[in-house]
Amino acid sequence: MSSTPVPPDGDAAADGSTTDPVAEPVTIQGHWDFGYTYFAGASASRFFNELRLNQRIMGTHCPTCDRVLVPARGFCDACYVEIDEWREVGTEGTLDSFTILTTSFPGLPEPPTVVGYVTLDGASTALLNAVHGIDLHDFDEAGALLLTQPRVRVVFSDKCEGRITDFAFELVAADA
Amino acid sequence: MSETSTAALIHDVRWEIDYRVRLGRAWSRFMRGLRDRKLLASTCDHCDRTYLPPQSYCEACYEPITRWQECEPVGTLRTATIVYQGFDGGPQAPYAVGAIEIDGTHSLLMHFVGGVDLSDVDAARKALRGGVRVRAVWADERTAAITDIAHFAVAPAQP
Repeated sequence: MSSTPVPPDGDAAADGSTTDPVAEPVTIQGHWDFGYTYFAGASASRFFNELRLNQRIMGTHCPTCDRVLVPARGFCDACYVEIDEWREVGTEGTLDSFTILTTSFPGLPEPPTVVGYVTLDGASTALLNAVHGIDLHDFDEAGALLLTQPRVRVVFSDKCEGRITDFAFELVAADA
Repeated sequence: MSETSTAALIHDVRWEIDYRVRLGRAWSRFMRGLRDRKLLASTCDHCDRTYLPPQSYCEACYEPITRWQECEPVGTLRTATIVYQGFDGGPQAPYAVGAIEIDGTHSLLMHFVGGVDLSDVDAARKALRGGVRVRAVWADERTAAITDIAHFAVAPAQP
């Protein structure tokens, strides 16, 4: 036989190993330090340039399946056809899904923050970005509100640079 | 009128991140096994699938797994790729990475594949085709890490 039984979990000491994998897990130290040049490609370049120059969210329409992909893509991921028909989509939409970030990460804003997938009006796919203006003093309360899949709107920053951080979402009802 | 720009968008990016990954029950035991030159797999009581790397839950039955086996460090290369573009902190390119089905298991272990001359691309592709037999080559210094296996060596072709 190519394999031989060893003691089951919870009895690891019996095979000579005195280390309980639950009480003393193996920890791996990691360090990433590298630079690179990111080229957005033809469709994403135009998508980001539209944010910077025109403060509008653009998608591409697939003639085969009639979906509007946002952010704009050069190929339809369902039909595998090249698409180049550009459409502006709405600046309001529905928060489909979200997460509340509670751990800091280099380069990201200080937690807690919210990121969410929003399907903008006129779009067939959801767009991921920060959701601003949510009261995060009570995570359960914030989560309950966001789970209702509220309407949100796009708010552009004062200085657009052609990055996803040029805009964020905020609740439509906040000032209703 | 709005302006349309199709100018290529290019960003310079730098990542500088320190992190720690705390392995779970199955992977901690797996890594400590490697340190002792043991290849440990877990087996589901319900469907008899054997996982290497081991899992504490069966991905087919969703049942917890507590049964373990020690496997011979030999298997079959199912697929491979040759990496020509190196990565900061990674091995010197070119190098080969493969998905290996250890004998008696029903899963694939990703690891470096050695013992193949990568300077001759066509010959290397032939040597790394799916189905060839491989054997683990243990590292001299072992620290309960995946690199306790230096690589899997392709068995010399049968005459």
